[in-house]
Formats: sequence, structure tokens, C-alpha cells
Amino acid sequence: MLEHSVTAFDEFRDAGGELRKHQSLLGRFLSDRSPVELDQLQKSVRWRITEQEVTFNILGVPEGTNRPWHLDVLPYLVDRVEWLTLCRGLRQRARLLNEIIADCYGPQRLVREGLLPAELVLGHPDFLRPCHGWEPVGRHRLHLYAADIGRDPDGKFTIYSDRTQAPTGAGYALENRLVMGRTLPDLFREYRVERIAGFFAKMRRTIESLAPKTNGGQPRVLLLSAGARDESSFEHAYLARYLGYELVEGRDLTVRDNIVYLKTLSGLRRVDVLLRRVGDAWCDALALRGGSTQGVAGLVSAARAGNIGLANPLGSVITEMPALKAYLPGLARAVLGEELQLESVPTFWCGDPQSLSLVLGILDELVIKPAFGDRRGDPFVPAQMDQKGRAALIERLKARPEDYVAERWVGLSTVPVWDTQGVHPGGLAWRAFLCRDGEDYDVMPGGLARINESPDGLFLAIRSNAVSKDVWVPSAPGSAEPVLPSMPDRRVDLKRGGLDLPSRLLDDIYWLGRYVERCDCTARLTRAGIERATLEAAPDAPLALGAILDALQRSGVTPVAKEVKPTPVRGGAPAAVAEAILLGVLFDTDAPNNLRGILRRVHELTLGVRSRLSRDAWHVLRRLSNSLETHPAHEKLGNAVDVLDQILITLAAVSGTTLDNMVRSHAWAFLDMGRRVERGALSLVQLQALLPAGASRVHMEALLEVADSLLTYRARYLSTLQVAPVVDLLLTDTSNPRSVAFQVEALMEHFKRLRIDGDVTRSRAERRLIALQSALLTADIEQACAGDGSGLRQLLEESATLLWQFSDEVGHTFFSHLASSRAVSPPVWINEDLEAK
Amino acid sequence: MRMFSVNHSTSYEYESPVVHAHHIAHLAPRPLQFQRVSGYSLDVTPEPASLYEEHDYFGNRAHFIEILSEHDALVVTAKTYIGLRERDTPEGLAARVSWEDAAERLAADRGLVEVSEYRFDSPLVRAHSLLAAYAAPSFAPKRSLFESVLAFNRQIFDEFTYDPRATDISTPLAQVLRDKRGVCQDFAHVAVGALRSLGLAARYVSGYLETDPPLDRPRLVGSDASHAWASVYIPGFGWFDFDPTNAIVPATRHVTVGWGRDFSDVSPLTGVVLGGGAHSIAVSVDVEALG
Repeated sequence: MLEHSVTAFDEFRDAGGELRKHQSLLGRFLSDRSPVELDQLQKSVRWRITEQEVTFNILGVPEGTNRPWHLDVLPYLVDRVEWLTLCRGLRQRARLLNEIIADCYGPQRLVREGLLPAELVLGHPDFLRPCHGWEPVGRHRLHLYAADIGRDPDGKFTIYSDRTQAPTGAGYALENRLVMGRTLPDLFREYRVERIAGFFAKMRRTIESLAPKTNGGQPRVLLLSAGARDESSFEHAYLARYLGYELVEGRDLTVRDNIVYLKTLSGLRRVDVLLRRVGDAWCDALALRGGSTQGVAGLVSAARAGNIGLANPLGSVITEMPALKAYLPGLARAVLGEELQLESVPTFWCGDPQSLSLVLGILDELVIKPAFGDRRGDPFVPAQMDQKGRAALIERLKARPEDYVAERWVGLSTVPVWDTQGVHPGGLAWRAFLCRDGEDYDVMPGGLARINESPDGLFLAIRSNAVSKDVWVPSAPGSAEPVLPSMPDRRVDLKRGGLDLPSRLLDDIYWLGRYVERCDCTARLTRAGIERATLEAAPDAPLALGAILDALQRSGVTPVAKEVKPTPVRGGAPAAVAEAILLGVLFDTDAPNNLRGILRRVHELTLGVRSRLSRDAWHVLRRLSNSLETHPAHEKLGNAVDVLDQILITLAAVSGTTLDNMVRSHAWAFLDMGRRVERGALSLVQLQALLPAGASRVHMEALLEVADSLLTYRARYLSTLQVAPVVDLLLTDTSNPRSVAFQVEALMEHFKRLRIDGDVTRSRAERRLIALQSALLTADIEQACAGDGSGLRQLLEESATLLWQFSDEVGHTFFSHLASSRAVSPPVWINEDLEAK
Repeated sequence: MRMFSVNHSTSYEYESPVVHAHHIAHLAPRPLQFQRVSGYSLDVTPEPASLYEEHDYFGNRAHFIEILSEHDALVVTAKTYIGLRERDTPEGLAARVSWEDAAERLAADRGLVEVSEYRFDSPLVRAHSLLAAYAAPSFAPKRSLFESVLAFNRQIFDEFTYDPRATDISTPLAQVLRDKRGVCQDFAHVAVGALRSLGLAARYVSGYLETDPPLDRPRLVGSDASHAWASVYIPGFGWFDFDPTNAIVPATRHVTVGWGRDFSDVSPLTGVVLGGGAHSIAVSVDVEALG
């Protein structure tokens, strides 16, 4: 019964093989086009997806981050009359679930009257006791709801699961719609597809209506995400952008005196509503699950005090449990006085003794799931288990029946799906989205459909490369011409000066700047090393190799423990050890701080600040962080130079897009500050490593090459390489954008603009900068470089110390409040008296 | 009525400064039919930005503390004056109801919904056939629930060794059961878990116990401890407390602070802090009989 049997409902053709009426447009569309044309369209869908970089993360799988999203070129067409019936059922279901949640967190009449087993509410591991007995802002318990739908062999819509906590998928549906509207504009217009923008407008109204009535004006609404590692982080960013809400994480927020605040550079800003994408139990480490860093301590108290609106309110996960479906028909009668309009997939809670014996009798027709729901685990399919596994399952069912629920999956309908070969039928399941609308609910005219090769009922717990489909609902007859969907212009909040940005975002941007620059310096150093380690290099070039390896080690790129002094070789083959070290910088997958590790950090930070990056900046940063992905670990030095060249070209593009296109906001200032600090610090390291006592021409040449200043030097001094002019150019020459003094000057400028009057702590960082600047300006380079060079070494060391102190102060000044809060353990028992008993 | 003063002080010392802290304290004893609370004060150093009391889901008194000033030590001191009366004990029909009948009534009687939540798993205590098997010698077929619990109270006392070094709050119940070592909290959890595994309703009680100083020595201030025991629901009677750490039935020496499904519901002091680094904790409890 788990296969798409011949009895599956065919959405495309009726029993007589005729196209269903509402599918005629799609039928004609398919017959009018050659396979080549269709494949071309599918390719353009894929291209648009790639362009948007739509990804999803698969939790718990190392290689499972950011898998590409698949969208079929053929939309799923819904008949209007059937749609309207379905909507009535969905709205009823949402009203019912809302009442059930309210009862569980209030009078608990349903449990008392035996309509709902006490085990399922009071024994639910995520029944949040601190949320019992008070009404959340906005009174209702369910503002956003999603249902997973399949069609049984008779074509009847059947609900597989209910999503009441933080329903995901609406953002993907939106994104699919934007791509499809652009790919098939004619078909879109001809089918008169109803817009989904109206639904999102309503959703915004609903969310904003949850603002406590304490302050007038536009409420501050934030989307609370678990961060870039969340399986739906793309959607969070996409939805936040579409709705115009700032995307934040738990550590961006703080609760003081039961009021939720956003931490910004200019201080705390009161938050009115959180559109939360963090699970119920993880929202407050104080009142709920200790040890969670995704939420914000004190959120429950703030909600209880009526100071924050939450969509959905805490505790709504309770109606997601699969076991609830078994009781919905009775609950609909008791709560609404109505018959349940939309049937659920047949569900049996094993905690009921009668259900358990029934389940054990027809086990092979069922799938077994945790009663309270756990989306991570696969359901058990007894029919597909071996004898031993099956016996163990039966044992578990008997031992703890209340933990399990059995569902009889009735099979999914089939729709045409395009693949490179042609059209084939695929099993369809889809998610519909609702939002609270006054006293009722509104249904998004559309949805997120997925083709399930093996119907698993876990429609969004994606473990395969499942294909998605856009869901098209025709407009009411006589309504206006459809408008192609588009992303609205984001409200530009940078006009306010950007100081209201979450500090964490600026911290991430600052570190992005540092890692991008670290990447640049490391790539240049490594390239210089490789060129000196290869046969084609000039005969005396390898002399500088040891100094370059030393610089890599001092920069923290290669581990200190390794032996880095290769035997100097002249004209012969490079020492194997140097080659291994240099290749390791690029290709070693275990070294956390090598180029690969640096690019991984660039990737993570890029994901985290995505909402603040222009499309071009995003693309070029993604290309940068992917630079090494396509290269296997075993590479030769020759190829490595090509790879490094490519990385340096991409880095130039990064500089280009940020310099040319980024608004001179605080975000830009922090990105640039990060780069300046890193470039200054690494330049000092290079000066120290590449100008050892008795440095020769090859050393200076390598140093100038790494600092990209060889041409400047030659233009200025022709080819006489001398220590003092080299040091002057790289250390104190404020006209050379690669010099340390240039970085310091740029940092001073940033600080002038960031300064807030009367802020004492800021001036501590500034004082370090001034000290560094005057040390560099007043240094007598000629004299410092004379003799044994100890004067120079001292100057470099002093400068490095001041720069690191400055860097620490920057962190302390702007970001010290950003550390994650953590739970402190309760006292342990100390009872020596009783020990003796 | 016996009068006591209880002085319970908890100190945290942090390695680096804490800049913002939220704490919840379950330190204020709740008034009960056999327990009069005639005075209570909670002192927090440094001065909290806010401090207020609310009743939690179980009806316990919870204090919410927020500290905004930078600090590297936190001291929370609760002082209480308590009067204790003798408690009722089951008699007549309630003392005779068999534990099987009690379990059946708990499952079937909708009037017992409030009680029924103590039959289910909680964060630290999960029912298990091993726990049921452990309790079996005390819970002979058709034996009265009251008698069975008294026997079980003795059984745990006889078979478990008090050993503060054997466990901490993260030690799983299975390990406690295997090693038969632990502290009052562990024994209470074993009792609660075993009763639940038999289909009975059991809860965890947090409080204090008046201890006697050794005969030849004076009472030492602060050497007492916060204590924990278990309670079972006996249909027709109500909640009946028992203390498996000492094999006694709490009377006028046990001060009740509050109860919950397990320790996690009534932890004396929890918190979430920003900053702090590593920390150390010191607890001092002084239970003094007055007159």
C-alpha cells in the first residue's frame, strides 16, 4: 500500500482517460511543446533557483548543509470548486486546533470530560506548564497554521499532519511562485492564477496586530530564527525580506523587567512582536528547557506580562502531535458543535488498549510514529521490516504503548512531473498555509507541493532530493487580470542611520571583513611560497621559502608544531616538507585555520549576514567560499597556483562589489574595519617574518610581492631593493593602500564617524589607534633599519601589540553584550549529616 | 505546634563578571493545612533590578529575580518562620485500598485529572519495567497501597547507600537504580519512578529536615541541608508523604517548600546568566527549632 498503486487518484486524467477539465490548459501546454522546449524551460527554472541560491539544510548530516532546492516546471493545478470546499475544511480545522490549544492551557475541560486522553496533554513532553493559566497577547493561540494534504484513491483530500508551532514552507511557496511566474508568464495569466501577495499582506496585519498596546506608531516586528544552521534558514531570510522584518537570533535579544529588547549599537530597542521560528521548548532557557541558546531568557515572563506578541504563542506545538488526529472528529463536535469536514489519515493512538490490539492485528498495513511527534526520526514501516526488527517493534509497542501512534496511509494521488526524459506520474503531497483573519482564518491561494517518490508523510523533513511544485488556484470568475508576482522593495531602514541594526549582525559583518582579508593575505603568501617551491622559479628564489612558511605559521594558518624550515635548495626539487605544508594550506580538510577553514568561516558568516548583502555581493562571496569545494584533496602545486589565482580574482570582485555598491552605512563601516584590522595585523606579521636579520634581495622581493607592492616600489626606486625604503612603503607610507599606516588612518576615519559623544569606552579603543598612529608617524625608519635591525623588530612588535589591543577594545566596546546567555546549574545536594544515617 | 526558623543561603562565585542575570527561586515554603508560614524574607546580593513572586503551575511560590549590575558573586538567602502540626494518616477504607485498585481508579476516574499528571513521565523521571520490578517485593498482589508504600519506603532505605559523591543532578535514574547509591533527591526520584511504573501517581517534594546534632557536640549552624522526599496519591485519602532517605513518614520535622513532578519543577535556584565563566556554588542550610 506504500507504492503508488494503480488505484491512486489521477489528478490529470479521469477514469476514462480524458483530461480533467481544469487540467486542459496544462494538457495543451504539454502537447504544444517538444521535449526539448520543455527541458529548456525546466533548465531556466533551475537557473532561476540557482540564481536565488535556494537551499535547505538537512540536519545531522555533515554534507547535508545547503542542498539545492528542486522545483518542477509543471505547476499543480487545483480546481476552483474543489479548492473552495477544501478551504472551508482547513479553516474549520484551524479554528478547532486554536480552541484545543486554548483549552489545554486553560480550563482543560477536554481532558476532564474524557474527550482527550490526559496522557496526551498532561503527559506531553512539550506541554509547557509555565504557559498554563494565562492568555497571550492577541487572545488567540493559533495565528499561523499549515496542513499537509494528500488525496486518497477516491480523490478525497486527507490531512496527514498539522503544523501549529512555527509552520515552515510559506517562504518556499513564495519563492516557487516568483520563479514560476517568470518562467511561464503566459500559462500563469491564462489560468488566471490567484495572487498569494494578498495572503502575505493579511499575515502581516495579523502579526502586527499582536503588538501590545503600549506604544503607538509602527510596531517593531522581528523574525526570530535559530540561525544559519537551521534546516529552513533560507526561508527565514527570504520571508523576513519579503515581509520587511529584521531577521534576528536569540542572542540579539534580551529581556529586562519583562520587556523584550533588541540589542543595537545605539542601545536597547523595544520589540513588540516576534514571528518565531524557534521551537516552543527552546524559546526560554530560564522558564522552559534549560541549556537552550536559541531563545531568550525571560521570554515566558514577558509574554505573561503582556509585553510581547508571539506568532504563534508559546505552547502551540501541542496540537502537532500525530496522536491528536485520532480524536479530532469527537473534539469538533464537542468544541465547535460541527462535524469535522476534512478527514485525517486514519490514526490510532496505541495508549488506548482497544486501539493497540487493533494495531497489532493489522500491523503490516500501518506505519508507526512517536505519539507526540518527532520530525527527525523516520516512521517505522512494519511491512518493510525484517522479522527481528518487527518483533522488537511489537515489544516496544506493548511496553510503552502510549508513546506510539499508528497511521494507515491511504496512498497519494498522481500528477504529471517533468524530468529530462519526459512526463511521468509522481505522488503528490502538499502543504497549505493559513493565517488568523479576525475571527476566522484565511487560506493562502497556493501552497507548497512535493513529489514523494516513496510517500513518507514527512513532507518537509527533506532527506532526499524531492522535487517541489508550485500550487496554482484559479481566481474567482470576473476578478481582475492576474499580476505576475514580484519581490516588494524592501523598506530601507538604513536611512535611520543603521544604528538600530542588531549588534550581532554588525559583529558578523566585522568578522566577515576580517576573514575575507585573512583569505587574501593567506592566498598571496601561499602563492608566493608555491612559486618559490616549483622548478620554474628563479634559482635563488627558494631562499625566501623558509621565511614565507614562517609567515604562514605566525599568521596561525599552519600549526606551530610542524617543522617549517625546509633545507634550502638551489635549483633542485623543492623539499617535500615545504610542498606538503603549502598543499595543506589549500587542501587539508582537517586543519581548522588553513585556507579551507578560512573559507568555511567566510561561508558561515555570509549566510548569517545575508539579509544585509546586495545580490551581487552575495553571489561573489558565495563563489569565494566555494572556491575549493570542487577540488579534490590530492592536488599538485601547479594546479594550486591556478586555484589561488582564481581566489584572488574573486577577492578583487568582492572588494569591487563592496566598494562600489555598498551603502556607506554602519554595515559597510564594520566590514571595512574588519578588513583594515586584519590587513594591518597580517602586514606586521609578514614584515616580521620576511625581513629576518640579514634579509636579502629575495626576501624583500617576496615581501613586496605578497603585499602587492612590487610595482609601486619599482616605479619609485627602480630596482634597487633596500630594507629602509621597503619598510617605509609597507609600514609608514600613508599613500600605499597596502601599508599599515594606511589601515590605521582608515580605522581612525571610521571611528570618528562612529563616535557617540560622551562615550568613554569608545575612546579607549581610539587611544590605542592614536598611539599606533603616532608610533608609525614618528618612527625614524632609516635608523630603525640600520645595524642589526633590532630597532625595526621592536617597532614592529610595539605596533602589533597596539593593533591587537585595539582589536580587543573594538570587540569589548561594541560586542561584549553579545555573548550567549547560559544556564547555571542548580545547587547540588550537600548533606553530610545524613550520610551516616 | 512546633516552630522552626529556616535559613537557606546559596552563594555563586563566578570566574568572570556576570553582566545580566535572571533567576527563579523555589525557596518560599507554601502554606499548608499542617504548615503555617509566619514569616518569609528573601535577600539577594547584589541588589536585584526586579524581584517578584508568582505561583507556578503546581501552586508553589516562585520568586523571579533579575540582576542588572555587574557582579562576580551572588548570594540568595531565604529566611522563614514555620509552624508544623501533626499530619493525618490514612485510616479505614483508604488505608485498605489495594495498590492495583488504586492504579485502576486513577486511570478511570475523570475526577482525578489533577492527580493523573503525576502518573506520567517527567523530564527526570521516566517509568520503566526495571523500576516496577525493583518495587515488586514491597508491592505484593492485593496488598494495600498504604502498607506497600511503607514497605517500599523501608526497602529503599535498606538497599540504597547515601553517597553524595556518587551522583549529581545529571545522573540518570537507571544508574542510581543500578548502583544503589545517591542522595535524597535520587531516592525520591527512584520512589516516584517506581510508583509511576506501577500505574500510581507520585510526586517529588522539596523541603527541609530538622536534624539532630551528634550527642556530644553542639548544633552547627548551616550544617543542615535542603531535603527531598516523595508523595503518593491514595484514593480516598489524598497525598501521603514518605521519606525513603530516612525510612520515616514526615511529621513535625519536615518543612515543605513545594512539589512537582520531579526535581526540575522545584529546583531551589536556577538561572540564566550573561558572562560569568566557570562558577562554584556553596549552600548552607540551618533549620532551628524554636522553643
